[in-house]
Amino acid sequence: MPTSASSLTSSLIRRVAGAWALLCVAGSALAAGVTYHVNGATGADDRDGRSPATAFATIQRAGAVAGPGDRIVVAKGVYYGPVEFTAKGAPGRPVVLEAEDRSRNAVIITNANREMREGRVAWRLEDQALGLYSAPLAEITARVLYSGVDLQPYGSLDQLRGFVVEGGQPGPAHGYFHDTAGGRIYVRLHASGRYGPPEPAKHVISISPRTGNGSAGTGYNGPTFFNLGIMERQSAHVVVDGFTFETPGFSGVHVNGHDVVVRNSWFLGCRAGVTGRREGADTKVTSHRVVVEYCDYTQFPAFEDMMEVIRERGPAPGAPTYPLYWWSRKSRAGTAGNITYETGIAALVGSDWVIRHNRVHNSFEGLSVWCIRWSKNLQIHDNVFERIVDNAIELEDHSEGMRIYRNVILNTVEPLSWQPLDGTPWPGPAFIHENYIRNSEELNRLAAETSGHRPGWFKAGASRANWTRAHMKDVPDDVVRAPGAGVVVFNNTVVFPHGYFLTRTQPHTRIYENIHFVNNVVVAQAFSSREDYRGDNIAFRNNAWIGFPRVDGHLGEVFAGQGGVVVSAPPPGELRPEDFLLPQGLAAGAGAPVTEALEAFPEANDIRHRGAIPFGSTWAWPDVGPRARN
Amino acid sequence: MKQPAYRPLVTLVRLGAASALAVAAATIAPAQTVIQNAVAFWTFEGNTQDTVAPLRHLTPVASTAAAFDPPASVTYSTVTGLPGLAPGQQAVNFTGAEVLKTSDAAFRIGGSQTFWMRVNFGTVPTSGNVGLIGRTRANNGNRGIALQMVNGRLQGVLSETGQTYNVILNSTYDMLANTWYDVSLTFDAGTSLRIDIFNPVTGLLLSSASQTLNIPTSVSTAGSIAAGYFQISGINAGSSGSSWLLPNGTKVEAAGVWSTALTSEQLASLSAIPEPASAAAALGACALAATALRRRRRRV
Repeated sequence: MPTSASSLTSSLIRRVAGAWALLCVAGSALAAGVTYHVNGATGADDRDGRSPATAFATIQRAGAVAGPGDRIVVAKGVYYGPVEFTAKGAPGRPVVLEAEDRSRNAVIITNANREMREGRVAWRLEDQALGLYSAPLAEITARVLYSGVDLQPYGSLDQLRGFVVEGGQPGPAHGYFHDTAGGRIYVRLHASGRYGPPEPAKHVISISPRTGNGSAGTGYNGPTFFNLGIMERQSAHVVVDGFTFETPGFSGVHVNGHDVVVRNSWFLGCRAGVTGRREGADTKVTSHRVVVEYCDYTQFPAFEDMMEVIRERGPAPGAPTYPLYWWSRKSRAGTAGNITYETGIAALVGSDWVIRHNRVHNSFEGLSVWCIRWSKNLQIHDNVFERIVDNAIELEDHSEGMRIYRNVILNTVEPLSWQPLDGTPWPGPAFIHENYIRNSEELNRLAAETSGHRPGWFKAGASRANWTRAHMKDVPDDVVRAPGAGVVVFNNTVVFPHGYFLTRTQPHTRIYENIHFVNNVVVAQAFSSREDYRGDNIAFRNNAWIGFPRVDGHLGEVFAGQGGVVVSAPPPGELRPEDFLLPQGLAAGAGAPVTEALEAFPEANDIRHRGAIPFGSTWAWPDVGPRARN
Repeated sequence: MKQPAYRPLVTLVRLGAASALAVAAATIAPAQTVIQNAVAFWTFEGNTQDTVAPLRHLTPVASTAAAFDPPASVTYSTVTGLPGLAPGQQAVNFTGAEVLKTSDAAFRIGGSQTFWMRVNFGTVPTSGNVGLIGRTRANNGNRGIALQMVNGRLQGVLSETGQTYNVILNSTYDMLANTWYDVSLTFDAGTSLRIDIFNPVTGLLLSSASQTLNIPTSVSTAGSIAAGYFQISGINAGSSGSSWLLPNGTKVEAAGVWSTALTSEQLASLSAIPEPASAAAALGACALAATALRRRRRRV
């Protein structure tokens, strides 16, 4: 054991420590950062930027002079990007780039076509009956907003006229078509007036540049890729706070290095909210330690468009029901090959990212495969994902160590996906716990009745496509085993009436291994689409199953598993989802140990309840979205 | 700065008749200053008393205890095989049925802090939890900070709000039974959480794990944690009534808590092997000779 010092030495050390403390105080006073001001309307870059009266005109200029501990306050207004921000902070002394007002559209950084956005381009009425307008537009675009409303792309003028997409599938009653050869853009705004007047001249029209390179459109292709680029290649130590990002080529904020926080910001017309440098297995080239928090991410009204199609433009009785016919936005037509779906609040995620306290809503995906594939130790917690056309979170491909907890996922067609498409390494380990997932009866019922595809809240499986990859030729295709501790889904409360537990995306002869469901409370109609399919090697333990509506052959007892319970369904109209978040009834005192999850949830062996309330007696909605400045 | 109330067998004594300069060199060894700046440092020399004033003693209680009742009786054993120890120094023995506990408010540290322990596990469970040192309880609003062992590997946890762990840091080093380790958890507020494992036999670092992302600037002192449930070993660290006890046969030779983040050098100094007396004496003699030589030249 080490030994103690003499009192003489103590006295000496006290004096030295005292002097050092004084130095530290003086040093910290000296190190207090400078506040720079930016005002696009009144500023000028040849000023010193140290007061509102002598503000810089551009964020770039402030970024060129700011250093560790400095703060840059950006006045209200519209700033045309892309903005390459070169400032670099230091550990504990970040450069803070903040909007003076965090409200939506108060401080906007946009890559939109400036003439169009400022209403300096004349619209020509092409067809009054259809409300069809056109305007000249030479450059390729991937996204068009009218006053923040995200328009459906159509592949031809005829498709736009008829609101149909490829294959004759119905599309929503507003959209655009870009005639790239003729250099004109055609739009039809929603005639109902629910998104404002149908005349484009009465809106702010924001038209993005083209998206990124590569088949997925996720490759960096120059600065129009982003609204704001944090250009430092190593640790940037930058905080971005309170901006509205609009219609970039791909992402609102692009992090070229590491150690960046983006908070209290709004993402409109962004295929991705915050991106890292690139995706990949090599951690030397990916971006690490990025936090995205208290932000709002949307492609409004992607979900409203889907519901409009389902309610008003579903297949006629007797007509073939093609699966997922509401995926009109999953078409590249009309965008010159640019992908506009595969969306997410973050993308090109490297190691140790945190996505928390965000509101992700009305988007095609919340975090798609092309956003978080290859991520390592990604934490997704305390977010609300709401009204999403496809999946809220897609754990594939190759992700490692993902934790998804304490989120709320509402009215999302298929909330969670573990559907590798690129072969090994299979995604995992992954820990999914304490989430509250809920779909309305109407959504699941309408989807099922009009398409023949009844949604499942957990989509899983490795399709044959995985074995088309060169590195898979010697990999057995009879078993798909999640690595490490596996995929551990525990203590979630899922209210999914008229839906299934599982959407299986692999042949029933292929076996899942190392996937575990423990202590979950689930309301659903049936296990999966096949009454004879029992999930084979998926491990089920101590779950509670409430079949709703009551159907034969639901196989709820399979999901309940050892120690689980199957409860009679409540009568129609008496399903109260909130009841399942109370520590009483079937949830109370019925938790079982989840040893598989100990590395992510230290108390997993001491869980007391089923469902999303493993310890406490209360459950609270997460605090999400941009916060007003105090 | 706290004054050391404990005067163990210091290097000075072991040097015997070595020179005065050698003594001076020994007294400014970093480990000594590190210890005297601890909030508490227990050496378990036949008791669970703090050795750094003001004294903050630990109370042995049974694993079934509510607060401090019923108490437990612990035994001590002589430690051998550690070069940094003087003969006769002891460790407290754990049988898998007790914890050492205090409700002293001094351990409700909200900022930077360090937990350190010299431990030899009787067994290393390959599954399940073992609490080493900390103050945390999983009931809502009561999570704090702790160093523990999960499935045979160390784990550090940290909560800013008490509601959820902001950081769960998993070491990848497989701990062995019947082996001495110096283990520590260091929270540098707003900067990092780190686990270090040293081998006190060789003084070498065995493993270090750290996280710098998402590190809060404070640790929760809310809820019943504010009542001061600081403990070595662990009860109620999971849910109420849980037992994350140090396994039977475990020995803890010393432990300490600091209200600062110890540096890597400071942690290393706690595990450093004392300099051999002959070498220290030789160094001291050299220094003395050099000083005398300079004085003589000045006079010339």
